[in-house]
Amino acid sequence: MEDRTQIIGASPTQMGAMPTQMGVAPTQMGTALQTLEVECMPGNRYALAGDISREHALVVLKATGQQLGRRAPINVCLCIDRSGSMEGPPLDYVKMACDYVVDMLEPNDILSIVTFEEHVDVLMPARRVVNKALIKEHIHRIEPGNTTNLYDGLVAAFMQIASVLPQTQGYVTRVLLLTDGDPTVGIKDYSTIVQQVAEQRAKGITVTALGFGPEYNEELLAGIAKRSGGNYYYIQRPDLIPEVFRRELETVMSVVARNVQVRLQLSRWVNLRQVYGLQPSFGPRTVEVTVPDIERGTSRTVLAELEFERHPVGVFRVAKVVVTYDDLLANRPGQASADCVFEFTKDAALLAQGVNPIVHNEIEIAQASQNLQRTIMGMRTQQLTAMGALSELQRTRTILMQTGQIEKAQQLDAAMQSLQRGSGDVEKTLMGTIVDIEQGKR
Amino acid sequence: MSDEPTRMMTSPAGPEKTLLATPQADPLRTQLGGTTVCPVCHTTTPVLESYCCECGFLLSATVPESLKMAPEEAPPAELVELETGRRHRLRVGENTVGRQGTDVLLLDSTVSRSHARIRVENGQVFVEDLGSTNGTKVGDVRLSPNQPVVATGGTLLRFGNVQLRLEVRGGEGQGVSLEGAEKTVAIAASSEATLLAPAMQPVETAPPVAWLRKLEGPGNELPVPAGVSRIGRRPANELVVTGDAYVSGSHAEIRVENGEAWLTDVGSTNGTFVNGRRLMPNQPQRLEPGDEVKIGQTSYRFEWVEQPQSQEAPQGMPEPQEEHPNEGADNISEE
Repeated sequence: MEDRTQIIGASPTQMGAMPTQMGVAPTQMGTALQTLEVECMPGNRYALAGDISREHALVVLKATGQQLGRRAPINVCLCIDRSGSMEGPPLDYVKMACDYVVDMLEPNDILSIVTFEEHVDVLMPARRVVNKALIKEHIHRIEPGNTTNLYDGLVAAFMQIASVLPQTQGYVTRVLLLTDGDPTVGIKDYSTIVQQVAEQRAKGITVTALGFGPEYNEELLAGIAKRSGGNYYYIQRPDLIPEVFRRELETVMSVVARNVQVRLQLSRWVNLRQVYGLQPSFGPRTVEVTVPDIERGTSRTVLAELEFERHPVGVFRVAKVVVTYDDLLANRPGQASADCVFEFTKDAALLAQGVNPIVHNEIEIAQASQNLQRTIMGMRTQQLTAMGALSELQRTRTILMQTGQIEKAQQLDAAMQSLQRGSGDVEKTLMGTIVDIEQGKR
Repeated sequence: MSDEPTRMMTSPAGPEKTLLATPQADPLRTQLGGTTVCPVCHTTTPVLESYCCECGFLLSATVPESLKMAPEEAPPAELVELETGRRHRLRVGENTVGRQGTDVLLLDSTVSRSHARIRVENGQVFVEDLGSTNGTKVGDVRLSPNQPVVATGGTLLRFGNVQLRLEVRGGEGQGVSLEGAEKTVAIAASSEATLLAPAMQPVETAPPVAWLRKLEGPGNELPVPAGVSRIGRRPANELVVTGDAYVSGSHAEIRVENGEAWLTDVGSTNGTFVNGRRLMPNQPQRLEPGDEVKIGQTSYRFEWVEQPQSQEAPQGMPEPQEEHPNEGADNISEE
């Protein structure tokens, strides 16, 4: 693969010899169309000079909506729980869903299928999808077993994806993990499982967590999806399984940028306090977050909170934002950058005029996610009654409506209806809203 | 843009002008052609850049009238995360510690939203737990809620699973005096001695005398202090291994005394290896510098710290030797 960053870095002598090109940022040279566009907005045009102050900065990543070329091929593993509780309609629908997936794949794509109960079976090692009938024959031989060994099932799925990684550069990788219960054998603790997922993420393997029915552990599945940069689905009824598989596969097939890293290079007198919903890694005056894969025509936001230490009066770039990613449309590394600029002033009255409503909106949405987490916690510890939870959800729903997050507000409607019916799946629904917000899906 | 009168131009490679360059100036950058000296922080930046590469000042803007910076005050105290090296400055007065909206923001699920409070006052640092779920430790002592305790420079603090080293301006051992301790009215007279013990005699805070330097694997590097340190995944260990699922909660023990280091496996599931040989449980094995130690999935090389007696000089802080010839003898100036 061509390394564009090297070309940019290798030209200092050339640029010195080309005074006419001065002032043109190297990243803008010769790029007709970017797969990802990056913008950085300060939460306020102004910040207070000569004092310690906190402000927000919003990075918006926008993927082009253009239909260019073929979609990127995918390397997908179906990791299916076949514990005893899946017997009957659930497993029948799972088989139908797997058939669906097989039908959707093209000869370039790679598929593997792993099932787990007490033991783990590799039903199909990672291969190109050639003989569809034969694969389906294997799928229809899946039988229910006993307990749920989720960890070993996941590890087997990772191994299948990883076994072809070197040959599948430019592929989108995804494990589709479907389970209906808590892990019952093998490694069961949350932190070990999520840590394993995080390590695989670093290798470029993403897990989408599909929870089916009323018994699964939503905390665990949401944790897997979040740390992995994958999606989270709550599937209420078995007949919805094929539809959800189809939706997820379509999402994976529309990814245009993967391995998206957002790096903030902080100027002097600037500290980063937090990046909402994402786990940043801190370097010397740089902070980096990994953003989930980005699909065609969608955008993602990264909201950061900064702290300034006694700037003099003047206009300062407090951070340079550099985004690197695998550009799956052009099949090469992509890069884009933006500046985060504040004007530092002694005039506190200016601050009220400088608020950026878009960033303010994002702060509210982040707040909504924190509200939801608190509501879930309150319900679990029974410090919140059903009535109390309902009014909390109503408040959060209002925030989401006002900030234009209609789809997420509708998810809350569904959760509130469940709550009124007295059914226990409220948290499973809300968890999906939290994951979506934290991953910056807008 | 480059003709802006307020910008000071220097010739590309004039030897006399390079004196203007601060040590941070990247020599490669100065080859680009012209360079500009930032009027705010005096860093040399290539003319191609619109913003100063050090402080971010917009170089084409008019130079602000008063460039008098508030004297760059070093914070009176800082907390340094052991795992990431991330620094959190503490201000004089009250600093809240927690997971949401606090001054010291620790984004770890074992930290409560509002976890603790640190007061910096008269050169003293007081730590108070606010009834957190997973507790606060100063040195070895777990705090009772709402009972402030004095912590000295170099002390290890622990909020939930997050470990931080307290750095006080002026160096190690600073920030304690019995006078101050008496002011901590919340400490019951009977428990005062035990509560202050870790602050006065920081056991955990001793700088490492040796290292288990990571060669490969998912785990973290382990700074080995003198004395006995337990190694494992559980936070109660002195040396906590994070990120390696194959390390047991309580895995091994390393003892450093009389210039010797001994490693003992304490019955771990996946074993402890020295140079490829698995240790028998509870049988100490002497370590030599260069020995390869494997704990879980992570391999380390054992090595001694060059000068075991020398103090750690925390970066970004005044050199303790220069300003404070006698370690720990000076009080911090009052703010």
